Amino acid sequence: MATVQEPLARTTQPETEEENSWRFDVFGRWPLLKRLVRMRSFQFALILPNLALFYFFLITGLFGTPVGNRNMIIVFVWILWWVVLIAGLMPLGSRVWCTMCPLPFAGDWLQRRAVIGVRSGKSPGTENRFFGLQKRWPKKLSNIWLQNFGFLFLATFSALLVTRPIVSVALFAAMIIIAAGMALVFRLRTFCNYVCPISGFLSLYAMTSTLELRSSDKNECLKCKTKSCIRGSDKGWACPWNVYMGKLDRNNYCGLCFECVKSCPNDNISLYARPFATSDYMIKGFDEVWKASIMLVLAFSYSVVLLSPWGVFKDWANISEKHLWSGFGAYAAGQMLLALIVFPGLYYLAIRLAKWYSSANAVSVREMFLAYSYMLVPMGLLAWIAFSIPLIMVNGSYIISVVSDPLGWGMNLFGTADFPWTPFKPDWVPALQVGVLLVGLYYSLRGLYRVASKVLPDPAQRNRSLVPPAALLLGITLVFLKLFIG
Amino acid sequence: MTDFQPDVLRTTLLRAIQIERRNSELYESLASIFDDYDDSVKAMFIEMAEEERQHGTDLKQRYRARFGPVPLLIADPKEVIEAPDLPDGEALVFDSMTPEKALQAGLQAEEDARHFYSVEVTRTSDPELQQLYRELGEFEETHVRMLQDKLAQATHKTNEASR
Repeated sequence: MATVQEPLARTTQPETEEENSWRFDVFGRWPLLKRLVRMRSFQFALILPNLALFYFFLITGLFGTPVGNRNMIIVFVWILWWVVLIAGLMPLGSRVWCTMCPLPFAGDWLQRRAVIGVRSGKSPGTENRFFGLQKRWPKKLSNIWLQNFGFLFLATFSALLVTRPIVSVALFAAMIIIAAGMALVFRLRTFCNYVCPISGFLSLYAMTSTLELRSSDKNECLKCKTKSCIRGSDKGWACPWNVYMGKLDRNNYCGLCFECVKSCPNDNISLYARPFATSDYMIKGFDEVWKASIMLVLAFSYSVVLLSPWGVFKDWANISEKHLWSGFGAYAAGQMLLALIVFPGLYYLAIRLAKWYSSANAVSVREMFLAYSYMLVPMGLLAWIAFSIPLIMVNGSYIISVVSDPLGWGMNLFGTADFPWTPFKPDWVPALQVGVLLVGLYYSLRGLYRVASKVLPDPAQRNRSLVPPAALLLGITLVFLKLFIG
Repeated sequence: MTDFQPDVLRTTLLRAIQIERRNSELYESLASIFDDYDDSVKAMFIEMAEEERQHGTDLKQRYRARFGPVPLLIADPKEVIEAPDLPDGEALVFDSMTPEKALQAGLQAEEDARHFYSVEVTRTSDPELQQLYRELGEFEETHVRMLQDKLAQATHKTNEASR
């Protein structure tokens, strides 16, 4: 009998031997996890304790001591949560924070009028019944520029945020209200996709993560007539992030809510483990390039302010205590200038040089500028991790004391309230920072090589094009090394 | 190849009919994603759904002429061969879908089908089957040209509008 062959092999295929040897189907290996994820109550079960803890933090911020390092909201959010997020959840679990994030919970409920269940019906573009106006978010704002500016703005006032509990409360309350308000007006998780300043950098650094949620067989998605992952069904809500799993090829905007695992009629969505920073290389827009620039510059700026021997910068940034308005102005303007103009300018220069030196006439500067910018992603993440090492090793002991006296009222719930400030192995910090930075440099150079190989197939052109951006990466590493080890 | 059986002609044509029907439903599904969201993209997908239905009707006529009444087709084909899809998993995140991109998705599917049948012609030595594959390839070729024309028109319109 004459046989029929498939014309296209559109399956999820790892690109390199390394990915092949490392990548595995997590659900396939641990079916119990898949059963848990498919339960409708899975996400709520994760959010609930987080939500309780979060509202407790808000209470401690509102009613507790105004002394930052004695108040649970400051110590737990800006030391513990931050370090766990940037050094653990982000590189290992992609956007798993978004799975359990308490901020959009109220908005989700207003939209769905359900905490666990799913409601089938009709709302714009979906097979679920949503409440609210269900408006379309403006096309011009369908990017992460708002998140870029929002995060930069918040970072400028970070000294206030990390020292004044009430400021943290105000920020989180505002985020909950904005998220809920937007859920009533716009479709799905518009707040998370376009406004949440945390989501912006999570989307960028999720590219490096060792986890990905993908369709197992792209051919199944091609043939799928329901497209339930994005349209929803009676089994699961339409993707709150507006992502279509059939063509998803990077982690950035998948918030790991696992609704698609529940709604897919072909059981074709699975969680995969993969090597670190070796899969998602594609930067798609200038907003993402600038996000990478902002994050790298902020890691630098925070390191200067908090870790360097130049105390004047700390005084400038600390407007709430020092009141040096002109200094603060210089700090804020300098930080913005560096993040939005100077560093992107340096990177642009490196790309112009790369194009000129490689004589890559077939490729535009724009194309190279976008593609090569991936090199800033692993470097940025690892720079942030390096910055966060002293945060937990030097100031981590505050967690032990504050857990017994969360409001700073003199309680001693677990007998650890008087635990003294005890830096943990502070002499190890510089060595760890150097190690982490060098790992960042390695993965950035590796990523740069990979994207260059795609953009410029000719090896001679590719190698020449690597020189200027690699030199920039080396320069960035040296600057951070100077900051960390003097 | 010498493993030809008489049923192959019939099943090949039936499969082509099934594909057109499935694609029509696929386009409808894609259109519904853009319900109350982007009317121009939705309209384009609906238009293509209607065209696929028409292609199915054309193929049924060919089937009837050769083999008699068309059997009731319940199952979808297992093969992809030709299937339209969104061009990007993040197309709705960035709101980057346009009628042109919808047309390109359709064009890609038709080109895949044309390529498939052109390869199949070379894979069989049976003259009748070769002839059917050629016919189906030409059938897809007309769809490719039609979509190319539409794409050119749509691109021209967009360019005019942006001037």
